[in-house]
Order: sequence, then C-alpha cells, then structure tokens
Amino acid sequence: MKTTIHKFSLYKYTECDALEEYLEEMALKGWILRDINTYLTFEKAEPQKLIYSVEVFEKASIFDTRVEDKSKEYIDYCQEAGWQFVCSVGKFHVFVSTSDNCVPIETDETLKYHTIKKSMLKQNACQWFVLPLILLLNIGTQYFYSFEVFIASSFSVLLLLILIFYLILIGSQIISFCIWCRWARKNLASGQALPSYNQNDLKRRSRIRMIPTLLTLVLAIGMAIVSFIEADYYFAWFLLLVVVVSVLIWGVFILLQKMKLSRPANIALPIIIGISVSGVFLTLCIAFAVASSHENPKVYVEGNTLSVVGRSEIPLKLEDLGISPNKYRDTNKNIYRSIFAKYITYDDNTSNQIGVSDKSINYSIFESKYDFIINHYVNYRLNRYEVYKPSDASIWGAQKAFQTEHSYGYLVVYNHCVLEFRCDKAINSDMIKIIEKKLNLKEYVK
Amino acid sequence: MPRLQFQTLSEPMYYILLALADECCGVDIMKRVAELSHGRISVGPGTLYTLLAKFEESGVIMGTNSYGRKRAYIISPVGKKLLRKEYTRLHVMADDGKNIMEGLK
Repeated sequence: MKTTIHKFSLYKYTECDALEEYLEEMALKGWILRDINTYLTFEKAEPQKLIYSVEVFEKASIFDTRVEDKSKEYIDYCQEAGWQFVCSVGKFHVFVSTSDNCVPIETDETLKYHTIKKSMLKQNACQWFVLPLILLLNIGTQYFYSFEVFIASSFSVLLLLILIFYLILIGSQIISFCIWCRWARKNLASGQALPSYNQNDLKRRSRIRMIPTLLTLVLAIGMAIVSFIEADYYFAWFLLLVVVVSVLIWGVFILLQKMKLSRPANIALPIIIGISVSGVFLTLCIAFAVASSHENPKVYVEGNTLSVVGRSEIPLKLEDLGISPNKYRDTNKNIYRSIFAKYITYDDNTSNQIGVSDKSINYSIFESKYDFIINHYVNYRLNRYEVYKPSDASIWGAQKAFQTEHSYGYLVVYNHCVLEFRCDKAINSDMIKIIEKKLNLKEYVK
Repeated sequence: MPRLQFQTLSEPMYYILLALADECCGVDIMKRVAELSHGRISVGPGTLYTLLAKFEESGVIMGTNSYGRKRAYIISPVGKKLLRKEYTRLHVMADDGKNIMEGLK
C-alpha cells in the first residue's frame, strides 16, 4: 500500500483558503501534509480532523530553500499561539492545529490584504512584466531586422504564437488579480473578510490555466513533426535545445532544493550557472553559424578561379548574365520556410582579392499564398534603405515592378511571389529573358 | 525623523503599545494583550509580527534585547506620545458621551 502521494500545487497567494480547505479534506481522508513544493507531499495516517492555516509571510522569498531566520521568528510567534509549523515554500507557510479554538494567525484583514497584494506583485513582477517585455523586444527586433526572414522562419512564427498564448495567459492572470483586489477592497470597506475561493472554483480555474501551456506544447510538437517531414533540422535543433535547457533548469532546481543553501546563494548560483551555460551555448552557436554559413562548402579551382560554392547549386550564375568570374568566387544560397512564407536568397560574388566583391549578383524569391503578406513585404522593402521608383512591369511579365534610383536593384511583384534582383550593371530585356527562364518565373505569372 | 503613519490606533495596536509600556518579548505580547483586555482582544501571531515590524520601522517601539531568537521590545518616546494621544482621545470621547449616556434609559 502506498504511504505517500504527491499532488501538483498551482496555488497562488490569493488562494490560501482553497489550499486550507483542500488540506483539511485530505486529512479527513487520512492523508497528512508533510512537505510543500511544486507539489504537495502527503503521508498516510489515521483520518483526523485538523485545522490548517496557510499564511503568506512577506519577508520570505521563493529563493529560500531552508527556513531563514526571519521565518523562524515568525514561526515562533505562531507556535506560541498554538499553531504547529508544517512546511513552507516561497512566502507560503503552512501551520496546523488540532483544536479549533486557536487564535487565527491573521486577525487583521486589512494588513493581510496588503501582505497578499504586495507578495503577488513581487512574486509575479518577472513573469507579468519583464518576460513579456523581453519576448516583445526579441520579436520586434527580428521583425525590424528582416521581415522576410521573420515571416518565413518556422522558429520566429512559433515564437510569435507562443508570445500570443503567453500574453493571453498573463493577461488573464493580471485581470483575475485585479478582480480579486477590487473585491477585497469592497469587502474590507464593508467590514467583511477577504474574498476566498473554494476548492471547486479552483479546480476549474486551474484547468483553464493549463490551456495556453497545452496549446504551446501541441504547437511545438506539431511544428517538430512538420520540420522533420520537410527535413528542416534547424527547428529540430532548436527544440532539442529547449528540452536540454528545461532539463538543466529542472536539475538545478532539484539540486538547490536538496542543498538547502542560503538565500543569496540560491539567487547567485542559478545566475552564475545560467551565464556560463549560455556562454557555452552562444560560443557553440556562433561556431555552428560560421561553420554552416556555406552549407557543405566546396572549394575548387577552375582555370584561374578559386571558387567557394555551397552544396546546392544556384539557378542563375554570373556567367549566365555574361559576367566572367575573377580570381576568387563565392556562391551561396539560403532557404527559409514557414507555414506563412518561403524565402530563398542567392548570391554570387567574385573578385581578385579575398573579402572584397568586385562583381556580384544577388537575388531572392519570396513566396507566400497570402496576399496581405506579399503586400506587406513589398511595402516593407520599398521603405527600407533605398529609394525605389516604379518601372515597367510588362517587360518582366509581372504585376508591378520597381527599380532603385541610384543603383541596379529591382523589385518585381508577381502573383504570390516577389523577386528582388541586384546587379552591378543595368539589365536589358535579353537578360530579363534569361533570368525569367533560369528562375522559372513563368510559373508565377498566372 | 521616523515616519509616522498611525493617525489613530486600531484596538489591537492600542493594546500592543500598552503591553510594551514595560519591556516585553515579542511572543509574550499576545498573552499580555489578552490579560490587559480581559480576554476581549486577541491578536493573531501573524498580525502581531507584522505590526511589530511596522512599529519598529516607524520608531514607535524599540528593540531592546535578544534572547536567542526571541526579541524584546519597549515603547519609545514617540510611541508614548502616540499612546497618550490615543488615550486622551478615547477619554474625551467617553467624557463627551457621559452626560447623554447617563440620561439615556
């Protein structure tokens, strides 16, 4: 027969009453609380009637893994009044008593309200305000840095969706906290006790709380499957990273729980570990990015030319436009693909000196089934670094065409596809025919 | 200058200050308050702890000795002034009502 059971605990500081109610019910069934953490640990005993008091002690912190001096003093006060200390987690302190004529631990509802309000704000400051801000900044930076890569990358699309779910979750938490505060103030003004939630309300609420988390999980798994089918392993690598980091965080968390260090150590240790681990990851990522800047680069000499060519051949090369390569040559191709768009960039550079580009062509094809994304992309490109003027679309067989004022850059808009083309010289209609043929643009004319 | 945040004292605050007229250990205040109020007022340990911290922070009481984890407090001059003010206020209130209350049947 089992002698201990564990139950998940998702209680907030505004829900002490519900936790008390739950603990008392469990005691009546013969399960006595032994420890509290991310889960509650119960031990089997004789069914008995116990009175629980779950309190928020403001001076305690979520970084406490052992009972700090301030808490000890607080516990002494409560024990003097006949309350037996059971366990604590963060600011939560659980007390128990066998007699129901003990003085309640909190006799002043206004003080209690301020304690709970302050604790809730302190505890959630990070996840309510700081984290969404960091995520928003991250997504904003990605968007302004390059909209086309942003919308065509599974990773940023996933991040965006996660942010949306997350904001919904945060929003609902903040709203329910505000409602609680209003309700509490109203009760206090009329001399009543603070609002309390009962166990059943809470069960329903915690089910609702799970929804965004579950959606994110489903989404991540879905995208992992898609990325495997499409053989886009970057996303799989990213997922692997997420799993490794989560396991690591969990491991550090468990370790800290076991080690029972002081509060400053509990704060400093995760920061130090975090910085060193992210340092290692960053170095690995940069090394990986450098190594894969050309996918499986092939280096070969052809006549007088030393070429560095990516694994995948690019469809249109310098020679096709009558440009002869110099001593060094560098050819590259990048593909980004998401459920919203596909973006492929190609470039072909050549020079007589390493690191300098004398002659080059670079072009990209942005495809999307969605007109608003295409329109947004065109507007985004037109308002970037260079001044574009409308040019003749008919020679491209396209819907719209633009050309840069001071260089040879072209932006050609087809149905569901946008070609951007850059060259060192003006292109004529013969060259356009070659480009059209090599890039298969006829396909997009429909 | 200690920050004064107590305009009027609540009943528990009044009795806690009364109890601290003599040096007293924090944990013993609960009993003292119950004695002083003849069992009418009870201060919960959590509330007491919070109030003592607030009182000390605003200079109404002073910590004196520590007996291990037990800390003892005594009322400060500021606290005495505050307590006297409250006492006078209560007295005036009772006096003001005296004639009327005696006339009430």
